[in-house]
Order: sequence, then structure tokens, then C-alpha cells
Amino acid sequence: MKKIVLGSFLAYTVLFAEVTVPEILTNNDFETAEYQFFVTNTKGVEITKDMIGKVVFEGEVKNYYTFYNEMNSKSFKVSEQLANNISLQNKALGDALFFKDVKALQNIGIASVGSLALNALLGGVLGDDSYVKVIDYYKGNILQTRLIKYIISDDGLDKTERELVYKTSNNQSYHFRSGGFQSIHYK
Amino acid sequence: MNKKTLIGLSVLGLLLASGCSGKSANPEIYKKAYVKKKEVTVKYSGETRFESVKGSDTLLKVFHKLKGKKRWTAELIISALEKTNEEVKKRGYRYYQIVFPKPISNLDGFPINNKEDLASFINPATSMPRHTMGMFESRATLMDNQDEQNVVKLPFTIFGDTEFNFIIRMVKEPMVHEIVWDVEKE
Repeated sequence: MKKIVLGSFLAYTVLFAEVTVPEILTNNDFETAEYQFFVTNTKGVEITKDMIGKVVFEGEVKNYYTFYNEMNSKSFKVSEQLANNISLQNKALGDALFFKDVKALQNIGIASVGSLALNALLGGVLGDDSYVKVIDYYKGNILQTRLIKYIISDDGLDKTERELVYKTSNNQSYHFRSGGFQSIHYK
Repeated sequence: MNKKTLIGLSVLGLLLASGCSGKSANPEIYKKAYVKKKEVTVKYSGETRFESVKGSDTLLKVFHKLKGKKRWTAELIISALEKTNEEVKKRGYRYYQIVFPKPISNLDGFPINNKEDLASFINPATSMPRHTMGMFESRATLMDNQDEQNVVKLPFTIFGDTEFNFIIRMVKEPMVHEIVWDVEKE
């Protein structure tokens, strides 16, 4: 009997993962707040204590996309020059570049770099309260990975609370609603 | 005003002030909470079709459709992405980015690069923590665009097909800032 009780307890705990959450976010019984917290690790490298994090961007999603668009424009220009130089020697290599894909997308009516692209994008994402924090993690002077934390909320999170959510986890995404946290794994 | 009244009023004032600032008084008190991890088995369903984009060897159009009007769009999204993973691998690439539709375009900076998060983003209701919701709480989510985030095409009637169509860009060596899906990750 003891074994069964212990066994079922283990199976139960396996289903839960721990996060450290500020009380302020879970103790409010009178107001329902809801948010989704997504953590993306671009290189999939685990964040360890010996890494140093440098915040690259923090703010509203609209400003984040403006920031990303500027970065894309720079890459596009570099890629364009590179494609022109490489194409003379090796056409296949030149064709595989970022510049080439952006051009091909433009030909089917999808702008991906510049103000046109930004306007098309922002029309679809401004419906929610969304916030982004981008952190680059370094070991020594070498960039290990980039962590992008993305919060979508109803209008229940103020600036301090958003900061607290960013601190809850470095490695898992979850959905919060009225004291409950959940994440789904699809097999 | 006598001394006692003054003291009384200042105590009352103190109590009111501390009560009002209750939410931000100690924002750094953290405690352990549990994230319930729900495991859901999804069988491949519907049909997926791939088509090349003119002028590029690395861009690929993906069309996935399920017969009928489906509210549970996770089934559609998971099936389409798993098939895409297989296709990208078959074509000899390890990474890809979604470049269209715009609300989920990694090329434009959209951060999500795994199927769990994308399904939850597109349809938040699928990831709601229902195990702790009170009896009177609505099962609908409080967030906007809860059905499809303008990404999934839901037909008006049950006779139409539910569709998830997108374009991907296969990448050999991603640049530092590029957000890519890794086909080796399950």
C-alpha cells in the first residue's frame, strides 16, 4: 500500500516543473490576470551562472520589430554586396544568400526589409499587449546564445510586474491564469 | 483638534496608506510555484503539400488543410510543422525560418521557434491552466485573437476546410541574430 501511495506521488510530481514566481502576481484574488510567457533560446545553449547577460533590447513589441527591421536592413545591404562579389565566381553560393531570398519574396508580394515590411507586420501584431526582452549571453568575450523573452498579456501587467515575469524563468514557457501555470508538450 | 484625535487620525492615515500600496510594497518576494506540464498526443492528420517559390532554391510554400471547421487548431499546426521538419531534413538542411504569414515571421523577428509555443501563441485557449480555474471563471481566454491570431484560415461553415498555409526559408548556416527552427530538436 505504501509503495502504491509513494509511486502515485512520484508520478504526480513528475508532471510538475518548478518556477519561482513573485507573490504579487499570484495573490490577487479579485482581479483575473492572464499572460503567456515564451522563452526562446536561439542556439539552444543552457544558461549557466558563469555566463554574463547583456540586455540588447527591452520594450514593447512594436519597438522590438522596428529594432529588428533595422538589423535586417543592415544584413540585407551586406548580403547584397557579398552576392554581387561571389556571383562572379560561384553562382550557387551567391544564390543561397539572405539577399536573394528577400528579393524572391518581394517578387511574390511579400516585403521583408524596410518600412513597407514593417507596416505590413505591425498591422497584425498590435492587437495584444506584448513585450519583449532580448538578452545576449557571453562566456568570456564569446557570444554563447541569445535569449528572447516574450510576454503577451491582457492589460493586467504593469511595468514592474512585467519585470517580475521576465525573472521567473530562463528555460521554460508557460501560460498563467488566476494562480495556475501550465505548459503543454505535444508527442 | 486635541492630541488624541491627531494621533488617531495619523494611525488611520498610516493604515490606509499601507493598504493602498499593498500591491507594490514588496515586489521582490518570490515563492516556488508549479507549472503543470500537460502531455498531449497528436496524430498526424490532414494533408500537407509543398511548393517551391520561383527564383529561390531555399524558399518553400507549405499548405496544410484539415477537412471541416476545427476550433482546436493545435492539431493542424503540430501536423503541419512535423511534416515540414521531415521535408527540410530530406532536402539536406538543418534549420529553417517561417517567413510568412507576417504575425509569425521569424525573418521579421518573431521569436517563437518550437511547435508547443507556436500552437499556444496561435490559440491561447489550448494552453490555459484549467486545473486551477474557479467554478465561475470563463473558459475563454482574456487575450485577443484567441482563435487563430490571423494565421489559421477558419471557414465560415462546417463544410469548408481549416487551413494553415505558410512559407519557410531553409537555412544552412544561420547568422547570429537569426531566429531559426532546428529540425534535429524533437
